[in-house]
Amino acid sequence: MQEKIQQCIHAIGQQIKGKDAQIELALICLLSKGHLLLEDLPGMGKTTLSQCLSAVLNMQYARMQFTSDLLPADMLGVNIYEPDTHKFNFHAGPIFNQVLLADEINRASPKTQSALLEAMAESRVSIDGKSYDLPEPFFVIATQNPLFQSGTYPLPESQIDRFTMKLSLGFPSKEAERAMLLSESQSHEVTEVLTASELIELQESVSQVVVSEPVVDYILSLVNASRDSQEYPNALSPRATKAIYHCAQACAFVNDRNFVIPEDVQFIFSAVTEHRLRGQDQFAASTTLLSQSLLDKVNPMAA
Amino acid sequence: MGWVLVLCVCSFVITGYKAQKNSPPLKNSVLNLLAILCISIIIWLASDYGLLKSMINLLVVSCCLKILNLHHTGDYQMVASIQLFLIGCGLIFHQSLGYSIFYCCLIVMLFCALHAIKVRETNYKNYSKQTLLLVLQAVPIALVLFFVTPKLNPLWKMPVAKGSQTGLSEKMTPGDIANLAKSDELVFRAEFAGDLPKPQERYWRAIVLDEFDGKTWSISERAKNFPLPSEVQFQGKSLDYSVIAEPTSTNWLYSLDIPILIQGLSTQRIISTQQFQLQSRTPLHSKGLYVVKSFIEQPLNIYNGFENTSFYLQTPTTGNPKTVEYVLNNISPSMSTRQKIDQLNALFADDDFKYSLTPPLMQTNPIDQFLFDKKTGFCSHYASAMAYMLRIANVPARIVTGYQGGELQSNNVISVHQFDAHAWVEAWDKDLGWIRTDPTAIVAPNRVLAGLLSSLENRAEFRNESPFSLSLLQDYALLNNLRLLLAEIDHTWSQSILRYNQESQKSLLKKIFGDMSPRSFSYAIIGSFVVIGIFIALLFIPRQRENKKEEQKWLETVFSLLEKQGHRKENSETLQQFSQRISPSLNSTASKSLRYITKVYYQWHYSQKTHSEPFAAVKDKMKKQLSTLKAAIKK
Repeated sequence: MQEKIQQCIHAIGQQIKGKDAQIELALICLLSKGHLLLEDLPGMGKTTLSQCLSAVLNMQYARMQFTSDLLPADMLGVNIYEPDTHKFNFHAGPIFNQVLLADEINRASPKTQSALLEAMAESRVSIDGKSYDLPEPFFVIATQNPLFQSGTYPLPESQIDRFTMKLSLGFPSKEAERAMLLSESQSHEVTEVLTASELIELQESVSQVVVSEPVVDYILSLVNASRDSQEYPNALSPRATKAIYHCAQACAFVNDRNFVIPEDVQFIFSAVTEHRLRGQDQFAASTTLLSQSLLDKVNPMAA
Repeated sequence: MGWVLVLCVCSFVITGYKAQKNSPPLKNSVLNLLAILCISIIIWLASDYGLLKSMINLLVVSCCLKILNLHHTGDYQMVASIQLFLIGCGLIFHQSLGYSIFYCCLIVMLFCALHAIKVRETNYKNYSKQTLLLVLQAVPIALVLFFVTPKLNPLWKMPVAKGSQTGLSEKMTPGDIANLAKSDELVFRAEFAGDLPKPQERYWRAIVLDEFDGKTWSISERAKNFPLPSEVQFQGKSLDYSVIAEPTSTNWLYSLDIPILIQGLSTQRIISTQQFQLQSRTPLHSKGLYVVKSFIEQPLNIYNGFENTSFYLQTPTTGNPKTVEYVLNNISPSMSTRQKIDQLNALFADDDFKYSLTPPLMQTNPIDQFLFDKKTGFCSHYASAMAYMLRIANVPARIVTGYQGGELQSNNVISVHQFDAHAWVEAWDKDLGWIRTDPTAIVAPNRVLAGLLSSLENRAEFRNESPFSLSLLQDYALLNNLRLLLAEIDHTWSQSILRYNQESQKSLLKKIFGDMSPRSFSYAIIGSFVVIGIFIALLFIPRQRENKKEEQKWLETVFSLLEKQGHRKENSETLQQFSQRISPSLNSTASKSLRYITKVYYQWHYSQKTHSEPFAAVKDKMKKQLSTLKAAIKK
């Protein structure tokens, strides 16, 4: 199974050059049944990444461009009166897909945002008193522009907490960009590697990965360090702790191990916690990552 | 019991066979039946062996049977603890130096076995080394405990080991002492402060017998336990000596005539009786030391508790007609006591009389048969006949049993063995008091002058019962010297270790620390206990904590090793990151070993639940790698 994951990473790597770490993290997020938030400037490959992911995993894919006038019904679907049958029929919205790309999520109004986040948390939607299960696996990739850009509604802390990971792709390196340009002429079809049912199986195996007592201690002391110190305006929530735990398991799994080591925790830690720690009002804050300072504080070999 | 030994050997053989062939264990029902059988035999024989020996045999049997049925670690530990207890029991019976060393070896072997079971180590070199180290650590503690712990009297008494054949008995049938004479067990040692008594004067009095039933001499009820009045004073030449008596089943002690007790036993009181004996209140179950002053020139006329010496004229009314006739014909009432004695002794000067350890049986009229028919006997035959004739001749007479002679070692020590047992006669004269006369000395003068061995015509007689007896070796000068040396070491052992009691403890502490009040003495003892306690606590408490965090210790070792080389681990670094960062700056062996350590540590530390390797194996690997790393870094 692990080879397939490596194949996935390789296949996506063909499309997005020089971003293997981010691709791996995105896969880890997927394997731990989490949702992904991509934050970057326009044109950095956010959409490409999400498209590639769904293509490689052979999942139904829908893309929604979030705008300020988008309403929840546009996303969830709506009951429409059918004059022929005199009945209301439910027309499913784009959310009824296995992979939903919510592009520029912070351009939509809070009302629409919260509708999406509710669906993410519960894996089902309720419309006119009737609830509909979302397909499985259900994976939301949201992208957002950095907050200093105009026309954005920042996601509140309570809602951003629901994203398991937040990734930034960043500018590619010179070599990667050169490779990108040179390979432009050849059209690369992304080959599918996994099926949806295989993905569910993988997610199941991830939850079997052993997390030993010392690693649990390490995770807890990291989390507690954020709570004990005044440096962090938003301490890590228990949901964050769970997210770290599951992502570490997935990370070990991707690296072909059946037990978690502290390196796994460190690898996923910034992606999982940075957006939770920072909150939204500190976008202009210093360039040093808060999550990195947490990692520096805690000795992984202490337990 | 002999059959218990056989059972032991059988169970060892079976266990060995099982281990060799890996055969299935014995059925429980078989073992249970065997156990019931053994227990019933023990109960059957219990009355002969006494409580203590039966209980010990029971333990031995259960131990043997358990060995056949070992399954769990607990079983091994149980067997080992029973054996420790048995060794303790063994010390009740044997305390000599040889046995002490033997038991110490057994204990060390037991500890080795226990340790091997505990650490699951199969290489005997490894575990015996570790065990020896542990035992050596225990030695100073044991020494301090031995020398410093208050010597209290025991809170309970050990049951008596019944059936020990050692020692003289309170009844004498001619022939008894001959059996005793075949044993070369030590009876006592006497250490003289000044002069030694001459060989022919070494009559060690133990028991006085005064009642005769025609066959057996015994102690009459009237004669028992009359203490010597303390106002009696003795004069003349005296000898000072201390006696270390081996345990016996009687309460008769040994002394030369006439003994005055200078220092008694530490455990119980000694009585001086009117028959010039020393007697302890209860049988001596452990070695005991007492100091005596003997007035050897003092005639035994100082005190005779019985105004009526006619009591010593008691004879059976019937039997031995020839003897009676012989005495009445040869002795006239007008003769003096001394003359009568000489006259009767003259009978034994006849060449026909032989001294032998194995005289023929004399069932009816034994004295007649002995004097006029067989004419072969041991000291008890001669003494018995002599005393009987004296009584018929109207001379009050009695038999004294004890030991005669003894082997002179260097430094004025005489050791007396069971084969020195002897019996002689005392006759009463109004003026002279009790006169000692020893008819054996007439028949076999060497018996008195040079000991039993030289007086027997057939020396093989003495040997045939114990072919490996040490006294066989007397013929070879070198071996004899060796034997005497061993005896001397044993003497020192019993003098200094077995005699160690409250008094010697006090004097030892006094020697070391100077004078002490009882209060500071007790403080010192409490202090020493506290020190020992702290020492043990320091030894064991940190070890327990370390055991838990063995893995942490490995890490600390690695980090401190590398830190000495200037490689410091960043706080947030994991071991793997650290080793990857620094390995380019290490030599190849060191970096390889560091990588290996990292791998093993991660494997063990982070996947405990799924790990198949036992911790001991991981620990071993780790230790080896750590030392490799250390060596590689030092280069």
